[in-house]
This record gives sequence, structure tokens and C-alpha cells, in this order.
Amino acid sequence: MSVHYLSVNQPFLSRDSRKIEASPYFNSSNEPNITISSDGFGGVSDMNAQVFSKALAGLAEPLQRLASSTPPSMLESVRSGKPTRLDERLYDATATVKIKMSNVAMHIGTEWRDKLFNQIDSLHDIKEWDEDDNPVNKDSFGAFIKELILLKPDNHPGLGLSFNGNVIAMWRKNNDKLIIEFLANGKAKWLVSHDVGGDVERASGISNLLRLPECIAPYNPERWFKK
Amino acid sequence: MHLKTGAYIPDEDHVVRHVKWGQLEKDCDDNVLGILPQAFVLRATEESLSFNWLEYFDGSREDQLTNIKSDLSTRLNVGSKSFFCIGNVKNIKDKGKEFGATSIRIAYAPTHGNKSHVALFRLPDEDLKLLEALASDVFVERIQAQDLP
Repeated sequence: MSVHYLSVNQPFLSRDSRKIEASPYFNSSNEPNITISSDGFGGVSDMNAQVFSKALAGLAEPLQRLASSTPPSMLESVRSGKPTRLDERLYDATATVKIKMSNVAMHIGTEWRDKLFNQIDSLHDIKEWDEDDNPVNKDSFGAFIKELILLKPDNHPGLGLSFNGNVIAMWRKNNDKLIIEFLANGKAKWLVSHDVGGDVERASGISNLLRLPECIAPYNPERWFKK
Repeated sequence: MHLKTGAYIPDEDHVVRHVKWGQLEKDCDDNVLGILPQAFVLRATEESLSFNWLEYFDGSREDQLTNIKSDLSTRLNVGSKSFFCIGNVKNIKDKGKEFGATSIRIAYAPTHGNKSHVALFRLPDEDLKLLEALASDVFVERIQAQDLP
């Protein structure tokens, strides 16, 4: 059986000797020659692998782009390491967290979901932003949603953002406050402030998301969560 | 009054922190209730916390804040929903001492285009209780940017 292949201008692995040799299949002008081989399947397989790997090399980047979960508008940012335009970053971050929220809409309810959408839009209001600000971090937002489902508060929290894009949820009853910053690593920084006749007592900590309800339980969180 | 670069701001004077919309304490309808402690956290690239020296400028409170807003606007976006929050220098240092931060320094550090700039050093910004106390007890005078010319 005769097999045809295209030889390329590069060293190749000999079937028998298994060592790298200079390819005899290019001319003095450094251009590839087209040659015909009939030296058996093993050699053909080695050579074909080289030919195809060369041909596929050009396809690698486009294929990787198609398979990437990174939104197309962020690709330039990922490649160059430089931020894209502010409006693009805010749009992408808003879309990402809204999709995340839609995935758990059944646990949140339409009214609350719409309110959260408005709060996110408000936090990402481009008129309030600078180029070096960080939009909502998707992992922090995921942690926030998980905790909301766990805590099931009747009262919806106010929302803020740390400089590095962590979601900050806050509740206030009279002068008493509960503030929770959701970190991207699945933990939460919390602070309780309790006004006792003009004297303010404060407590704070960093907890795992699952432990957070227990950590704040001694401070009577129902005053913030229940209607 | 004018000071040399690096000189400490007098105890009786005031510094102003520009707090962006994201670092304001709000209810679920976006009504502003105060400042979040996170407004006093250093960014990864910062060595000191930035403020402006109120008394650098003459005139009424509004004149002073308008000058600060004008200077800040040349280098960053001063959003209409952001706030200018004023704190007394001695009160900041005293609040720090209350929480064990005895070496807070507040120094005049003018930069190009921001001649009233002040740098606050040695604030333990991982202490949320101290930051919340500064937000609630010290920076109690607040003016929204949209209320300034």
C-alpha cells in the first residue's frame, strides 16, 4: 500500500533509529518538497503525526478561543494582561452575576431577584466609576448568593463593594448594624455593631460561609433578618 | 495655613475622605445611611490612605469642599452620588488609640494637581471594628458630591 504525505521543513523522528535527523525533504531554498513514501504503516504514522501536528498548530489558538469560558470582550484583556474598556468590564461583570443569579432564581423569588438586579446595576453605574476600580467579583457574588439562600432573611440587605470587588451586604436596625463582606475564597468577614444606650459594642470575625450563621447567632441576627 | 511636605496636620484641623458609591452604607432601596468600614481599607497599590486637608483652603466649608472636589476631579471621577466625609485629626488619632493603634500619623503630602493631599500612615486596616468606629463616630459630617458646585 502506498501512502502519500507532505514532508515539512523540520527535523523528524526516524521510525527505526528513533533519533532526530535533519529532514531530507526540503530544497536548498528552504521550501518543502512534496514526496511520496511507501515505507510501511509505522513510519507513515510518525510522519503523519508530525504533518498533522504542524497543520493543527495554526488551529490551536482559534479552537482554544472557541472552547474558552472567557467572554469574547475579555479575550484581549486576558491575552495582553491589560484591562479592557471600563464600560466593557462593567457590562461583562453585570452579565456574569445576573446569569449566576438566574441559575438560583427559584430560591430567591422574582421580587427579590429584580431588586438585586437593580442593586447590581446601581453599583455598576458607570458615572460613579474610575478605570482602576474593580467590578463585582463573580466568586464573591456566588458566596453572597449561597449565604442568602442559607440565611433566608425576610429583609433584603443593602449592597456595597470593596475596592477589590467583594460584595458587601449590610443590614441596619436603628443604630445596630450587621455588615458581611464575602471574600472570593469562600469565607466571609463580618462585623456586628450594637448600640447599648449610647455605648457601642462591636464584634467581628472571619468565618467559613457554612459557619457564619452560628458565628453571628449570639448577636441576635433576627433583629436584622426578620420583618 | 501652609505646611512643609511631610509635616503633621494640626490636631484641631480636619481631613476629608472621598467615599465612592460602592463604599457607602445603604439600605436595600439605595438610601444612604453612612459609610462602610471598607471605605478606609488600603488598596493593594497604596502605602497610605489618601485624604485632603480641609483647612488648606480658605473660606466657608462649602468653599473648602468645592476646592477639594475641583482638585480631585482633575485626576479621578468624582461621581455625583459619592460623598465627602470630614473627620477631625485628633478624633481620628484618639479613636485609633482606643483600638490599640497608637502610632497613626497624618502628614501633609501634596501631589501634582492635588495640593491639599494628606497621607494617613499606620492605620491597621484589617481591624474592621476600628474602621467601623471611624466611619460611625469620627467621619460624621458628610456632604454628597452632587450638592457641591
